[in-house]
Amino acid sequence: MRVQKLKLRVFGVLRNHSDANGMLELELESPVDVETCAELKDELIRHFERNGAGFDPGILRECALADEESVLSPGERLRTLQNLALLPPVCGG
Amino acid sequence: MNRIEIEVSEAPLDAGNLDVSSWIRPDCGACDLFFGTVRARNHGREVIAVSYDAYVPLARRELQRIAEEALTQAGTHGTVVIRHRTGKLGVGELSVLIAVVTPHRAEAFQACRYVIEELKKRAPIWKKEFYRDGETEWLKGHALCGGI
Repeated sequence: MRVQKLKLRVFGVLRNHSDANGMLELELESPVDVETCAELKDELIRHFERNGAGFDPGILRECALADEESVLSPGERLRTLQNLALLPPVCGG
Repeated sequence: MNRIEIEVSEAPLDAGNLDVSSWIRPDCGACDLFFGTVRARNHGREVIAVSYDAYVPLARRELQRIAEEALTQAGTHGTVVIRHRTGKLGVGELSVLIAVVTPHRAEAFQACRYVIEELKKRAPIWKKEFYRDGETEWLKGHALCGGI
């Protein structure tokens, strides 16, 4: 799947870097092909390491990608780039 | 037949105004209740409020899965109610309510413990603490399975 512009819903500590609707928009320097969630996350880390993010890109290593149905495992094949969420470590209760 | 009720919302939880009688059922003789409340101190810092953020659609689904698992792993049937707050709460306010109704008490305690432990590890909910000195901090938690 070819990726360049990406819009992710974010939560928790990442909300400090989102717009008022909790969305984080970014544009990679050039289009890249990714197959799995882990590959997409690697691209995000590379992007923020190069461009700065206002936060430690290392935090992304602890984040999971998810949709409204479930948390996606690193090896899961990406079916769409729509309605993806980036979830930092959770702390409910 | 299992009955499961899940709510993740800004609606306040009032321990003095719960519909417990609607959860009781004739095939069950035990009702275990758990309340989580906002504590005034955490790691030596004075907390004045907590704000909960949640990915609500996924949180509802994950809590539904946890509730079903809780009854299965306890080898029983019954009712599970899980309510979790979002938004800003003051010290002493209820953040989470869990009710488990089963035929016998051992299974009710076991299932209730399962729900709160799994909720803390798996529910997409985040907590930000507000301190007396004016600082705030998102608490570190459990990485979900997608984390590397």
